[in-house]
Amino acid sequence: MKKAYILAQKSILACMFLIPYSFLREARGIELFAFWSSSAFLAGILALSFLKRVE
Amino acid sequence: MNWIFAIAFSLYILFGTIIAIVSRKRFEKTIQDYYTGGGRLGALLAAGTYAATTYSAFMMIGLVGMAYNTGVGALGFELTYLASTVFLLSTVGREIWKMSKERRWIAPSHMLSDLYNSRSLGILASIVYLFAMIPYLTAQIQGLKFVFGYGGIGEGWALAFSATLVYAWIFVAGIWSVAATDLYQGILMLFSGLAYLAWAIFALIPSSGSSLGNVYEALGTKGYLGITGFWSIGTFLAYTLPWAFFAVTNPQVVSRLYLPKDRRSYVRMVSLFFAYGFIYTLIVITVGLIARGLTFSPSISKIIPNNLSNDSVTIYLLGLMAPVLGSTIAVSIIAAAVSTANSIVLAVSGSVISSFLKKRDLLAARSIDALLVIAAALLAKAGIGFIVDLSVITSMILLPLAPITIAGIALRGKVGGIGKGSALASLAIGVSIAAYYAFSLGPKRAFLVQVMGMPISALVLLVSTLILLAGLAVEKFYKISSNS
Repeated sequence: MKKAYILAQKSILACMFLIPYSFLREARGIELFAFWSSSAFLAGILALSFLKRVE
Repeated sequence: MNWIFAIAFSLYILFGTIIAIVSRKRFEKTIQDYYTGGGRLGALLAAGTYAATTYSAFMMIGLVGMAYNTGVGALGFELTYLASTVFLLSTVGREIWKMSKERRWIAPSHMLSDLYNSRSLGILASIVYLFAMIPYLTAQIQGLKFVFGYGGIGEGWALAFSATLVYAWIFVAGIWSVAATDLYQGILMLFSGLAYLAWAIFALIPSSGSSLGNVYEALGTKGYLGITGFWSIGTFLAYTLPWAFFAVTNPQVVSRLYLPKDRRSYVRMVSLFFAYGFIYTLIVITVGLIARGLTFSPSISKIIPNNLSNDSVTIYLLGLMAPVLGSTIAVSIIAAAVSTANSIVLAVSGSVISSFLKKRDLLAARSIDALLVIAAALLAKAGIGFIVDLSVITSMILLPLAPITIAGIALRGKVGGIGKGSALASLAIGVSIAAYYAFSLGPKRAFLVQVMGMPISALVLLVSTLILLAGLAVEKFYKISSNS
């Protein structure tokens, strides 16, 4: 479980770098704002659920 | 003098001092309790102090201005920091908290010294903290001049108030008074941030004859909702990398991990900090973007000019507010700086005392605290620009501590002579590279220039990690060879 969790978190962090610079560079609406907010929110929720499960 | 500000500031000091004095009843007057509260803090206090320590005046001053000048990329930078921090808190941070219960660390240099069984490493880490954190502390105190300026208070009084306040709330009961006042200040910061945002949406935008939709449309048309020229991938990495490891490199936040009393408190501390950081970041960035959007207002009488520097956006906006709101927000910025500054003093003094002194008592601790505050106040008074600029790269200078801390925790102190040597070399060389570029290029340019095709912060992290890993690999190989 720990390895899967770490992989998931590292993937989210990598996406927070890569997706904006690959696909959202020219954003004109709130898509980049929404993307970064939802990525960080997902990272936080994952961290908290992991913390609650591990001893 | 702005009397409304004077009243707001007096009330802030009064309530903070009452809270600090009340917190004394938990203080057991030992050196362990002075620095870590004996690891007996509940979730709310631990989360409040973690949040208020992490989020300095940079949020309301620097980050609002950064969003105004560079667009939504500032949100990516700050939220990447938050996501990395909760990841580190759920993995390495959790292990640090668990081990601190057994090993009774009082400061991060004490922790490193113990993990690597090397007094030299603790001493070197303390020297690095002094080198990196005194400019940061100075910048906090000096930055307050501008906020006090809003209240009509001159530079001399501003420095005196700042230094006294930073020291007084440490003196009362060490971490207990710092944590209790941090919680109070953290709440003040969050609610003032919400009031700031509400004012921007419901007063500032309508007064310019615009609407939130129009502001966002203008921002999109002008490219501020995409990646602006400032945020090249190199600059984004240069800014984000040191902050991504902030939770394991900066002594004032590492030492916060020793505080929660049990596992439940630790988990709740992380949950509350995450919620706080997420909301606070969105508030601050939205205000900065609204300020930028209003510079494109078609109205003839533009409310906001389009050429404000990062640090002057909030100060300018304070002048547009009703005095009661402006004074409350100005006081909340002071609270943000004070809560960060006194935590830095406590963490650095804990590191100095655990590395250099054999006799560890409260008198020595309070004397070192006083010396640190006086040094920072004098440097702030001298107004040496380079010292304040140096604070910008504090996190880059501290970056070599990330691999050392993570490896030390992973190996749980099972490190031999070669590992110790490589940790020392990794720290010394990594810090030297960061300092070399800070001095040769100037601290601000050090974020923007690339060396060997990578940002300097990536180079610092890469070199220090490789040196450490090489040493640990050689040690492992040596052990295997001698066993077989």
